[in-house]
Amino acid sequence: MLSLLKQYRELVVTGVLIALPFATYLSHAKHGKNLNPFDRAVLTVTGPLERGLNTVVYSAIDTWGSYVGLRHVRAQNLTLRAKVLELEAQNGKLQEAKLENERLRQLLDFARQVPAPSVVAQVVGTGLAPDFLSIRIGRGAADGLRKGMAVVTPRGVVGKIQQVTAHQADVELITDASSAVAVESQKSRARATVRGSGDAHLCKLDYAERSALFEDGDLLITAGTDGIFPKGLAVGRVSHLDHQKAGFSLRGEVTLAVDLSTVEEVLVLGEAGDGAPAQARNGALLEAVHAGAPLRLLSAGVTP
Amino acid sequence: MTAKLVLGVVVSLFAMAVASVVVHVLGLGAARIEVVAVVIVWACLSLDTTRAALCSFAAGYLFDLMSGSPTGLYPLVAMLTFAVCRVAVAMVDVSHPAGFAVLCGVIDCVHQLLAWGLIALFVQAGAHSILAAIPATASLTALGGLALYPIFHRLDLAFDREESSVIYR
Repeated sequence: MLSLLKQYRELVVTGVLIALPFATYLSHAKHGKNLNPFDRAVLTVTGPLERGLNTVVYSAIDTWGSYVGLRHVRAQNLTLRAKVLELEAQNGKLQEAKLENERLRQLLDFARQVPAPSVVAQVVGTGLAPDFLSIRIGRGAADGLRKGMAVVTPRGVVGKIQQVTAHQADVELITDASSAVAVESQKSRARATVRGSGDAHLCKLDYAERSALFEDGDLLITAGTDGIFPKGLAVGRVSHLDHQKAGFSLRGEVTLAVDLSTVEEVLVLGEAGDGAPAQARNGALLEAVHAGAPLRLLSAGVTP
Repeated sequence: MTAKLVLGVVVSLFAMAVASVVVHVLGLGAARIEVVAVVIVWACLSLDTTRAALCSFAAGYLFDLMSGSPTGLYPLVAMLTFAVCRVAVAMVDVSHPAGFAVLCGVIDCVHQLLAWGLIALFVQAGAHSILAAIPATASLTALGGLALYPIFHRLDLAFDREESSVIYR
């Protein structure tokens, strides 16, 4: 019998291994079977193994997902950065246009207040010679500009026209060493002269009588006696007054009312009676500003 | 040789756990990767008949326990599949991973049809979903066989080749 079993061992084992689950299945096919102790033991052993393996596999999948996600995020980040740069550039342009509009509105409002006819002009460049402080504006003889005309902003005096071509003009700044403006103290009405120092931000107070009442911080305005600047335009404030006992006049510095290094639009003041065409242009410009036209073009002299 | 059998069962346990995760992650629906079919094919190719039968039974038993509702169906199906596979491997030459994968797919079809037949015969419920999923499951099982081939091949190389297994005869 034993030798028979050994001879047909494979068949016997296979038969038993088929018969055993067959019987089990027959009895439990419809309702499932209750786990026997052996089943429980196997599950007890394999359960943690399966859970551990699941954890490892899910961790690997999560890591891979994170990696892929990070790559996606990186690509998205680059796209968004480019978009941010683009939007910042757009925003900068809009801010610039807004500021320019505000400045031009102020300038046009100021143009309506000044007694002389005026022309709005845009600063198109700065003089390259270090010993001649000047700026170049985008209006010229064709717009009625002539040598010697006053150039101002709503904040104060800028300079005077030094030379003119058909469509642009060079403005000698009041800081230039050869510049001189007749001024008076707004507070005491004492008169003096403001001379250019050659320094881009300072002027010198000159010909101020020692007996006159000047104090540090006094606002100096144009006196209107030099035939160039009308009376009452701001020039700057007195600073560093030198109260020497000797000499006929006081000396000091003048901190300018206008930061000449940042001026972008100016008003060129004509003489009464010679600026009707320019006044008409400014009137049209003002109307265009209120209508929301692009002021950059208008101030550069382009007809809307 | 018994160690090889035990290792084969351990590998099948690991592979089933991985397959369950993969099925879940990929959202395969009714389709499955039937590692048990791959194990049966490997056992028939690499082990003698007795151990191959034991290995197949063990794989079927583990599959049954992991099915969530053990009824004894899968050990039975595994053993019937083993019987078919044992005859099949004697007639085909499987010496390449692709051949192993194809055989896994074919044997899985047999495995699923047997399961369907037994369920239809004794329970008469849920059989249609099994039939509909047969092509997809067989394909996935073939891919699973391709993935498991290097592991089983390494297992084969690690043990003595003097055994009367089919693959090295």
